[in-house]
Amino acid sequence: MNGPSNTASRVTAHVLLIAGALLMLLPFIWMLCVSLLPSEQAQAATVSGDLKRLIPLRPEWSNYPDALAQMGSRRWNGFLDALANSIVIATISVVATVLSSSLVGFAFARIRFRGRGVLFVIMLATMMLPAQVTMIPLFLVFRKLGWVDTILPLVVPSFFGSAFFIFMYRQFIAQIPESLIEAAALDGHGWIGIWWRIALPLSRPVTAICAVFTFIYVWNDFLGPLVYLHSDEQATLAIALNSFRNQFGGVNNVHLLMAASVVTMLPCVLIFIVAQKQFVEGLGRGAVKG
Amino acid sequence: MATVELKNIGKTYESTRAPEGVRAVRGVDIAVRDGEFVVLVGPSGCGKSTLLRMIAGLESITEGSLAIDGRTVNDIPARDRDIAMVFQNYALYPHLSVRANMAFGLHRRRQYPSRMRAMVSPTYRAARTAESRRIDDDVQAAAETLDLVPLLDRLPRELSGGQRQRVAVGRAIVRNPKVFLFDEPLSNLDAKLRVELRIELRQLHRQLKATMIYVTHDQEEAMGLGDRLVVLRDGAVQQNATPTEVYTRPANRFVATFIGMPSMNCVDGRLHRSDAGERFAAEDFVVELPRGKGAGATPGPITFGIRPDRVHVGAAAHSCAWRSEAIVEAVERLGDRADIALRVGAHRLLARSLPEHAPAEGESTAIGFDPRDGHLFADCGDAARIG
Repeated sequence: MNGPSNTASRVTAHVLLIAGALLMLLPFIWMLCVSLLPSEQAQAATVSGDLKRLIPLRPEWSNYPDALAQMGSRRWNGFLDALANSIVIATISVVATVLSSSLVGFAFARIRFRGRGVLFVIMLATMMLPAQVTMIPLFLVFRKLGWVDTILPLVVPSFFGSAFFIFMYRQFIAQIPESLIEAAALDGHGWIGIWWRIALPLSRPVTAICAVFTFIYVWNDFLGPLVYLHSDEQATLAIALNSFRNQFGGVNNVHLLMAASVVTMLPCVLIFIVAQKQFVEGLGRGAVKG
Repeated sequence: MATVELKNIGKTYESTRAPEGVRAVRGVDIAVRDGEFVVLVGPSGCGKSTLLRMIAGLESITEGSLAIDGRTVNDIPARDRDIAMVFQNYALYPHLSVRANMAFGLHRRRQYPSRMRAMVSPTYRAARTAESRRIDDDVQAAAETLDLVPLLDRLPRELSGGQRQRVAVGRAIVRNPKVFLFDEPLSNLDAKLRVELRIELRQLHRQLKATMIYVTHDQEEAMGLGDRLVVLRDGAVQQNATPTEVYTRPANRFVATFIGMPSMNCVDGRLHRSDAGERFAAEDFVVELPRGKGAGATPGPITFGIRPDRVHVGAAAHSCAWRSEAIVEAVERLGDRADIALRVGAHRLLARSLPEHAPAEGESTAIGFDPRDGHLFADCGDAARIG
């Protein structure tokens, strides 16, 4: 099957894929380049759209500390507070989503109980509900609980699982041979022990997807923190970046805005690179088995 | 170790198609003595695995009672029955090394499980460390018994089928449970390895003196391993006896034909009684029965059975009490023996002989047997043995 037509189609496919990948990368490369340009060159490149001027021949690394120091109302503290808040919210959300979604997915996959099918359908139906629909009722509930301007409204819902990830875990755990679950039961474990020691470690690819997706979603979430977090001390990086844009949004400071943007999105890129192997494996498995 | 007592055990599955449910196991009475090796054997779908899983606690018991060491365990969950099971597909935890697989059950049953407490209490920490050392020693000892020491740090995917099977057995023995259950553990292995591991299992049983219940559909494996066989069919026990007794005095026609390879020859006919004695008669096949054989049976329809290894051909047939002429339909030469299909009138009989004594296909040969080696089965109900 290695004839000339096959080679030609493979070359065509690769050319198209590389072109697509470059197209996707272009905004990121543009942002990275502008973040390293001196102020005048960044302005000129942005206004003129001259691609030759985009290349940072002498990278201006000081743009980064300058941008980060000016985030928020207090020098450096604004950025550090926002970073800490983002890390805390993202970490709690990731851990809670992984634990709760896998536990519920495990129960749906392995425990036979009356009403399991109906509950699973109801759970899936919640995926159809747009977040905007529940936003106001949820806000009223959290206000009643006195949780506004705390991180609780942003992290507590993670402890109740996410319908999409519950579905993924359920599909994956259903593929684990029944005899492994039974062997663990004979070795003395109850349902929780089997979930923790067998199902969760074996679901590593799904856990990677769940963790990466949740992290990226929470890290980039703008609407949630905007609704619930009002004071500067509670702001996340997404909120701080928005304030920074409002303050330094003009073309004069585009290099600083891009530097701040790069720093904000860097953790997402790093996490994706680190978890890439597991992540791609998980997506592949989901496609075959799910 | 322990005794296992099954009294009138039954299992009915709920089914939307059958309102009364589907009965997988019915009225099973088995008493397994301490240290005994009992094999549950039967064809696919006879309920042997279901029965084993009921003993393990992996299936609920819908009728009867199950006692382990004198204690009724019907409602005790699997994890509290202190039973170890070796599965057909080994069920090794793929993310854990051989060592961790073997220690898995021991860690669960630790007396000092808390790592947190070990951090704050020196006494607890010392006890926990000593316990960890004991677990390591137990794993090492079990690994030495089964020649698994070089494999202890490997993952299950890095092992061959036979090695995985031995790890599964190791995981069971390291726990020193009350009862060992084996669910067709050799069926995924090739024939040569199966024979080797059968011998190892037998040796292990002698060494551990453990109560073992083993499920297989392979009658040769069952005969070779068990102190006692329980032959099952359609969820009911057909015979519960030693392998020799099952082979030489099968309880009914099903057991007679299921146990033994090739299968027992069975000819349907009638029993006639006269002053001279009893006679079995079918078309082209009449056997004068020795005195006493069939004495308890009522004259009428009956089945006569004779094992192929008791049927002689050629010169060996001349000294037999029953003789006839037969056409050789086929000869299967199996190295150390030959299985010969013979046509006697309307009936086909199988005989087993040494390959050098086997006649050529298509030729006519003498055939004979001693009627005392024959078995008589009723021609109704479960075709019970009558002589």
